Amino acid sequence: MKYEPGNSFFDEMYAADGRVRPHYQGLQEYIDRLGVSEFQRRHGMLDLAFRNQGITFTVYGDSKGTERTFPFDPVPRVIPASEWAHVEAGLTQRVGALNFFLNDIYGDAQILNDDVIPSELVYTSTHFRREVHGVTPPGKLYTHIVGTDLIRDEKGEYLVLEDNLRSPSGVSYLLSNRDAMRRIYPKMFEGQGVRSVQHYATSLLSLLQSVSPRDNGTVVVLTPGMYNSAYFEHAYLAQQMGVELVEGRDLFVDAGRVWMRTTGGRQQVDVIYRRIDDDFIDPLTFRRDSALGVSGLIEVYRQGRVAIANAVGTGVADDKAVYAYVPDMIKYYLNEEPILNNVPTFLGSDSDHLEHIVGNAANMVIKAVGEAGGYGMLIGPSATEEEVAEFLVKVRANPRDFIGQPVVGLSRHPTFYEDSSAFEGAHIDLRPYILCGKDEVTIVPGGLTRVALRRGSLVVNSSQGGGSKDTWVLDHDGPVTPQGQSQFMHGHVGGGLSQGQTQFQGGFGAVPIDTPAGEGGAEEVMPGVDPALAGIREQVAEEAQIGAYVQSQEQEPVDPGDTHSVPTAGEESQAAETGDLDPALGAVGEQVAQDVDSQIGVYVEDPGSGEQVPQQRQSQEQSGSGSPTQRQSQSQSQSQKSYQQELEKNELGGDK
Amino acid sequence: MLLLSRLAESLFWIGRYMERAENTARLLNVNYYAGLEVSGRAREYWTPLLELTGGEAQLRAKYGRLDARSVSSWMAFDRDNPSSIASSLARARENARGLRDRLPSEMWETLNRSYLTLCFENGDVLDRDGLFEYCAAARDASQFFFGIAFATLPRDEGWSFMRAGQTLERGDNTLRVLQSRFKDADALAARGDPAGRALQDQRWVSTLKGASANEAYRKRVHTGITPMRVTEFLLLDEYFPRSVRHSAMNLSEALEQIGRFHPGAHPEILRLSRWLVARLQYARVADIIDGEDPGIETLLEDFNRVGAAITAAYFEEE
Repeated sequence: MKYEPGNSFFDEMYAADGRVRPHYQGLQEYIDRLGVSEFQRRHGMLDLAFRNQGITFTVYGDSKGTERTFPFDPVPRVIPASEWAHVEAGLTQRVGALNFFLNDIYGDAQILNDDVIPSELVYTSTHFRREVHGVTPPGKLYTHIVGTDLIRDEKGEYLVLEDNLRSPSGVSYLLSNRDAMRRIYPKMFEGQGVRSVQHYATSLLSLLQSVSPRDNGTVVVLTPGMYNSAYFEHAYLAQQMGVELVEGRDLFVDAGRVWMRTTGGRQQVDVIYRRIDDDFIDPLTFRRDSALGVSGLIEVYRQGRVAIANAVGTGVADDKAVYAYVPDMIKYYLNEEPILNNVPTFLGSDSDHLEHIVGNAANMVIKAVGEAGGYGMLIGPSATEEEVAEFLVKVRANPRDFIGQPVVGLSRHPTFYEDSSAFEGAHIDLRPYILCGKDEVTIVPGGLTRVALRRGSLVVNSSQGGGSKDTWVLDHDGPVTPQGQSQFMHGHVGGGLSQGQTQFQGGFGAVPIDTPAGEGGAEEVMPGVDPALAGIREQVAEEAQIGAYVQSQEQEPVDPGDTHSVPTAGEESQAAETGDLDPALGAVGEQVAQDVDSQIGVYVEDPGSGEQVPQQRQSQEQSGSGSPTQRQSQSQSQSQKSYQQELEKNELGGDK
Repeated sequence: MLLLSRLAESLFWIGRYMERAENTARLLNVNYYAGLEVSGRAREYWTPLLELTGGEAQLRAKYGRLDARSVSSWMAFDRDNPSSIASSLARARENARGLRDRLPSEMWETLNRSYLTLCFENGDVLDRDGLFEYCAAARDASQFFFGIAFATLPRDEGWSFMRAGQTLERGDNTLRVLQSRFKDADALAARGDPAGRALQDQRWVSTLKGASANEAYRKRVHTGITPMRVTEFLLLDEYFPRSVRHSAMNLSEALEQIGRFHPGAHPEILRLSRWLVARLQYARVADIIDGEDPGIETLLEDFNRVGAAITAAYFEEE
């Protein structure tokens, strides 16, 4: 396998000396056996398979709807057992603390009273929902399903870029990627010790059932509708769980309960796995113009007669400024040290930090805490001196509204490029999916690995040429040999905190712990040990990231002044489900993603296809009494229309 | 097991749109190839087909002329024509996308594949003489779809709603074909010349072929092509699956199956559909054509009345 790992970034597959890492050895042998031309041929089959199955993003711009497959790279990302154990422990710890936090702030707010987190930070967050203050959700669970974005820095350490606590999407791609890979590259898996991901839907269903207020309650998946960019996922999960996929118009509230309309009348609904944002879920409580939600739902929820997953109000905990306090939450609630670190974040509200931000503005990303989608953000290295100075005036005026982060260069992974018929390095991140139940936390091994397919780009977002990869978690630390197995057996994976994890905390996250002596010493697989080298890497990484940012800005100009003018349908459909696949790129992240995804899922109905065609396109209701010479067609019912109008007219909700 | 109203409605319309795509493909195919051997003005030849599906004014506005090419494009690929093959397939798929969690994956995939191959074509198909293949592919798409449904879709309410849509559309379509045929026949008869009569016979054969009924008719009726016998066969034959009577019977059966899930809830739907079947069972062809008791127009109204009753009972909001 020909591949140039380079030395600017952490490479997942190859160590700094160019040797393949042990857990990738089996994969490399397979690719060498298969040959590039056969590899390429099967790559084409993959795309066709996704297309025919309709595993696509909707990009309806005109009457000729086009749907795009989510680009997929068949070189899997491989995570060895000990490394995964570290990530798993870190995520479990993190969601536990976040759940305590949410219970706390919607209750007695001890953490605020103890001044661990400034209370104004929480109460002024756009995602804080006073409407649910004092409500204890079933099992005290707020965060049932969490998607946490992880990146690896130049040294290979896993860092948390952000938590998605509202309705993270992408798990269906994880599952269908695996299905497609198994079908098209079956031999790639043989004897590799890849852990299965098939239990996700089962675990999700039992989690949802466990929070039902009634025994054997009815579970539904609530979708904004088929025009949402993540609709495939909603349908997929409902199908896999065998529960009803409903839209807001299928549900109604009566007599203090939630019902769905069926051909046989009403049926009570007990658990709603909603993929609609808080803002749109109940027009009586939140946005009054929402037609996607269910009127009166929140009142029923307050009465405890329906469970909502994730609970209303979780968004406050993935707020940018609150994110910075997650390590403090872990210490406060769990009395533990964080296993996974944040991207270093400097808070304007702290005077020392502020000084640092101001002093290093030219080398930092400065973000306004209340904003997302790229508004109110300064990319220091790419800004002019005047821009920096101008921005710092705003920072000094309202220091607690801003945070600063260094620029992080994402790790790279060999990726197949059709045009060059070769393997090249591309930047990746990782979003594991965490199911947080009453008694246990379940994480399907791996997650969705997103890859920036555009050469040199750090943007893993799908609409910026990003794609995804299958993600393997091995049940050993590699290589695949009988010895490899025994390493696992004797290793430190099984029991609690291992030596490996201690080492990870030291910052060398990617080191395969069990590399046998003689196969390459530890120093070979520890890039970045040399501080001088690390310095150079950081610099290169910064440059690349800035380049990527500038590039994306040119393509998707962001005009903060435009936020309240005619928004597109895509924005609405995005608003309806935040925590989507977008907030992607490194520490500069969200701005590109939020904007570009507004193009996905845009559906503009052909204005001529509705009632405008007068003769034969009468609506169903009219045609019963109308002339029979006119051909019937499906009526566009009132609710469909208002849904459509909302798609077209509404602006982005709480995500600005 | 209960069924969401929205899904029931979608399944009903998937049945209708798939059947409609198939019928349009049959009619277009037969008309196009029969038209090759006919001298005379294209307008005369294509107008009946357009009356059947509607949209002549839009077609003229868009193409500026009415000939084999423009009508074929309009009816096959043009997404501006809501009744075109491509539009029907796209709408069926749109409905199917809304219930992806419920359709067997194989049904969804076959429909999705048909959509990808058939809904993005244009006049180039005509340039390479591909209309026959196109129409055949559209017909196959529908038959393949219903075939997979027959083999994989659980026989719950959803199945019956889809079946109701399919058979209602089929009966409606056959009635419209006959209605248009008679208008046209009157016009030709008024001409009274031998060429007109030859054209007449040919049109009746086309009508049979358009319903895939030519071979079945020849086996059953040995007296050759006469308008009354052809009409009788298409309206009242007990065994031919695309006759109006047979469609009405299937429709009624589907509605009875749905009714079993909701005993006694909607007696009016069953009354309407059974009354429709009863008249088709006992009426003679002369009653319908000469006596207009019930006339074709009335039968069409009755089919639509059943459709409206289904909507009111099952799809509309509480």
